[in-house]
Amino acid sequence: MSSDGVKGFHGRIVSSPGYHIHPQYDLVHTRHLIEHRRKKKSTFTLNLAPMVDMFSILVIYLIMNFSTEGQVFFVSKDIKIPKASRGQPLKSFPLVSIVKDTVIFDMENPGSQPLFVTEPNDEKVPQLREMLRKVKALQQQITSQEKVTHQLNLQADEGTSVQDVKKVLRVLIDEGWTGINFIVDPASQANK
Amino acid sequence: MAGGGGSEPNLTPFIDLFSVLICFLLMTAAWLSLEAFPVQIEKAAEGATNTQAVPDDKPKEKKVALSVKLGPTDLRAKEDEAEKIIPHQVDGSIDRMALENVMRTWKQKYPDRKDVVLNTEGNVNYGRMIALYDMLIQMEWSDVGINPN
Repeated sequence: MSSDGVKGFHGRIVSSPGYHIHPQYDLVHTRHLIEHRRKKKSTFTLNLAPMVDMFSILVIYLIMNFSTEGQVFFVSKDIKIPKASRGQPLKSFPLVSIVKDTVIFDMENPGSQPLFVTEPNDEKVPQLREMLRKVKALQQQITSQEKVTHQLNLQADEGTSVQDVKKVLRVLIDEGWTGINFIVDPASQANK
Repeated sequence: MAGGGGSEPNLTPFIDLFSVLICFLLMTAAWLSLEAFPVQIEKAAEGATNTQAVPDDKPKEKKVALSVKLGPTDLRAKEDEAEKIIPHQVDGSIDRMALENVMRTWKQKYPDRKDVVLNTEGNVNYGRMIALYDMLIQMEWSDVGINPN
């Protein structure tokens, strides 16, 4: 070791680091290609035009299928709606469903919890009667008319006995709900 | 633009707008389109028994009660007391042709009438009642009433 701190002989003095591969073996083209790819990756931008195209098609499709008419709020998986060809557009009214041995009342109540009642379908159905009276009074308050035709939608499975449907009908008529709309499925012509 | 070529519209607001619109439309979409048969129960029940509205100076004419009763094996078309039985087909479905004949006859006799009462026996399915209801409407009897009793 010499006194000036330089290691080795003059041919091997440590110099500042640079590109290590000797030019004799340097793959210039490959190096440039790799650098170019790295630069390209860092400046990647999403092409928004196809995205906007896709959104436009989706929006047009949804607008074409949009309906301002109210739809049934809830269709139970146990209900197979009977088919019919001459139905009229469904409107938003309180919904009464007959599911097996149960009768369900469902109504959207803007600004608060939906009004919902479920109980066994017998002739008494006290909770349903109470709810019908409550909703009727509410509707009369809103319309401020005595003779309002109180309407509701009724849905039942096509295999339900007519007796069960009539039990509910009698309760509805008793409570003054005479505008009853049977919900039907217009999917196919019912010529059976 | 003063800057020349290379200017592209800013698509971000478009995408924002479309996203909001899509969310709204998806939330309000009617995935299950259903229809309804409006049934005026009270009116129909009255129609079966009431007399026609005529001026007071004329004698009141009794309105003929037209009704169809759906049973498990047959269909009974009733014109006041006169009853015609239409047996169901072999597969249990309603004999549409026979019913059409009866309804056509009634239409010829009572051209102004559109009301008919639909009665059902207890052991009939709701789906079959709706099918008959639909048939009657197709045959231009638009005021079909359902007897709740």
